[in-house]
Amino acid sequence: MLFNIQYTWRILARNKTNLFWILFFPITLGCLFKVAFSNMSTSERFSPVPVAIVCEEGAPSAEPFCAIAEELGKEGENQMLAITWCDEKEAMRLLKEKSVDGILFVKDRVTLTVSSNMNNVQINQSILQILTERYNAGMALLEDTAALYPDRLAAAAETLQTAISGEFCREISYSRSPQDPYTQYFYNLIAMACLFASMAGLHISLNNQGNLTALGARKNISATGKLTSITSELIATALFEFLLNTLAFLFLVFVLKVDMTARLPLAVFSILISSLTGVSLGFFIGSIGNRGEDFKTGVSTAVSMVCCFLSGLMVGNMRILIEEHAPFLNRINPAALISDSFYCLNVYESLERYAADSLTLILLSAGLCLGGFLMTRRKRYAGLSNVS
Amino acid sequence: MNTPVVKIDNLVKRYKELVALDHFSLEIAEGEIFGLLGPNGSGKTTAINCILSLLAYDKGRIEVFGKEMKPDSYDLKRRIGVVMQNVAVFDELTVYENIDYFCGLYVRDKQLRKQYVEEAVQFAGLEEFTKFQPKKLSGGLLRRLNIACGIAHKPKLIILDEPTVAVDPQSRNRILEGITKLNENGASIIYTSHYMEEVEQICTRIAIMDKGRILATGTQKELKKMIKKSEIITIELIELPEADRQAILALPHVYQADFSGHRLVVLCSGGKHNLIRILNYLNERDLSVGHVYSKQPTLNDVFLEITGKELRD
Repeated sequence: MLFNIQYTWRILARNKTNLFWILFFPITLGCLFKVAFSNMSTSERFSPVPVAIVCEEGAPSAEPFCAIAEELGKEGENQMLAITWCDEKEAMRLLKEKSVDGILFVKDRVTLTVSSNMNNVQINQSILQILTERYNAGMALLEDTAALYPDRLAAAAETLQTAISGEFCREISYSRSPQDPYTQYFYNLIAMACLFASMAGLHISLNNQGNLTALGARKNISATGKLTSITSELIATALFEFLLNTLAFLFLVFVLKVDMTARLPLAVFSILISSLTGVSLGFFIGSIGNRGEDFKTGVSTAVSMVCCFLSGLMVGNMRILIEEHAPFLNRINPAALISDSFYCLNVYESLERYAADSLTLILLSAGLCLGGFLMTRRKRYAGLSNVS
Repeated sequence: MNTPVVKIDNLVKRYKELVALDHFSLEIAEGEIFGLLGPNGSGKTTAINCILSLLAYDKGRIEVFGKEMKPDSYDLKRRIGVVMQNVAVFDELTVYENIDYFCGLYVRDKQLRKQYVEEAVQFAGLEEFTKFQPKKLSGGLLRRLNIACGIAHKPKLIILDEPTVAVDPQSRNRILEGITKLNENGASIIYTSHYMEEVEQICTRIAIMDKGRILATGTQKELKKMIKKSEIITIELIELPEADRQAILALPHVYQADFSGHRLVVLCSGGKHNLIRILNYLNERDLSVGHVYSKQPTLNDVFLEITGKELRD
């Protein structure tokens, strides 16, 4: 068996097609993803809203609003506004030049002036509008409180300021670390690379069936049993593909700096199981029927790509859509399971779902191997017309 | 009598409507180079694949070394070497590695395997190409590699299925010499071909096949004796009157005499001194004789007479 494993490794290591699809293709695609998504991430990063504030001296809102504005304009991670304090004339000039996205006039109430021909900053204008509305609503509340409950006015003012400046509500992540929404594409990329191992698995089947290839015929008439031959080749191929997939994964993590560093040993274990699943899938497909190599290669590629499509490699929210309409598919789709296991490792504290995904992949691999073996086990063939 | 190396009883193999082997029976004795001769599609390869338990068959029994051959008869397979019609080697492995790999499917001992592989390399004349990958070899060398992979483990029964297809004459001669050498070293050989010259050159016993049936079995001599035509005499003449042609046809053992294009072709069935008798007659009639040829019948003639068609039709 060791002899067979050694030679299988030698054959795989010299098979340029295998090396390309399992190692270089995911790396190349990973680089492209990185370039594409880093631009998209940058464009989605929040920048402080440039605003001009014109404060009328002695106006009732001047003091409380300016305190809030200063808080929101403080430089740092949570800076919301980039404020220019100026007079009305200067503010209008800045708005005209599009140096600011709006002007806040602080008088009895706070009013917002925006330019109608600045469609590209509609989100920023909306932010300023919400800020204005919330402040004015708060001020109305304070006036009512002053009239009805004057003793509680100070407490109400403090609460209002806290709420508007963002201390009251703080965004918290329920995950282990904040996740870039595009990281899921990299999970799917790993899933794709692992399922591409099905090509190597397919060749195990083809090279052990006397009715499909001349090599298969030669092996069938040799003194080495089919169980020994297939088992050793499955082990050797799964380990070899695991090595290639791990290299691709490490490249993504350490060279491209994709945020998948959580629980590295478990991630590597996932790659091992996933590689085995890919190889088993190919072996199973290769064992069905007596169609030739080209046909089965086509089927294997199609199955891998459909699985990856359903897991969201091409359309990001596909897995979520399937979860809503046909959740069972996500439970048996190997690409979805692989992708989900990486997601679980990086997002959830608990390993429960990761364990379920891994167990399903192991059972799936075992089932595919068993099915494939039952179909290829020792037998005489009805015809050898496909041997090439 | 020794147990036959291969014994096939009443084998029937059908591909749907087509009967590929039709009550095919055969016995091959130890030490023979047994030739299966027949045109393409006559059932030679099907018979081989049935012997090897690769193909399922509808009826009959196959024994190899006295035991029934089954897909899991690994003890029997260990003693069989096969050279298939299609070259079956790994493109990713070198010549040496390919031979080592296929030898390793039979021989576990590393030292012994090394010795066997080196002997196979030498046998196939591949010493200079051991580090080459198969795709860099010529067609002839590739065939020789295919043979080396099939015989490296020193089997007692070697089956060669058309090993010289698409091979240059130099490689073909080397392959045929090698097969004879393997036989001298104690291996029994089954050799299939549709090249009668090859079969005539190396086989000690021959079976002629067509349409899945064995038409005749025997040594070359025995097969040639089976047919009426045992000598073909061709004589160049300027002219031959019809009366003289009739007179030649009336000579003993002559059963056909045709004259056309200044050539007299006489077919004789057995007998001795046929040529002298015809030449004496022509001399007596004062007819000038040019070139004279006398030819023994070939296996193709045997095939032609049995089936009514050429072997390579």
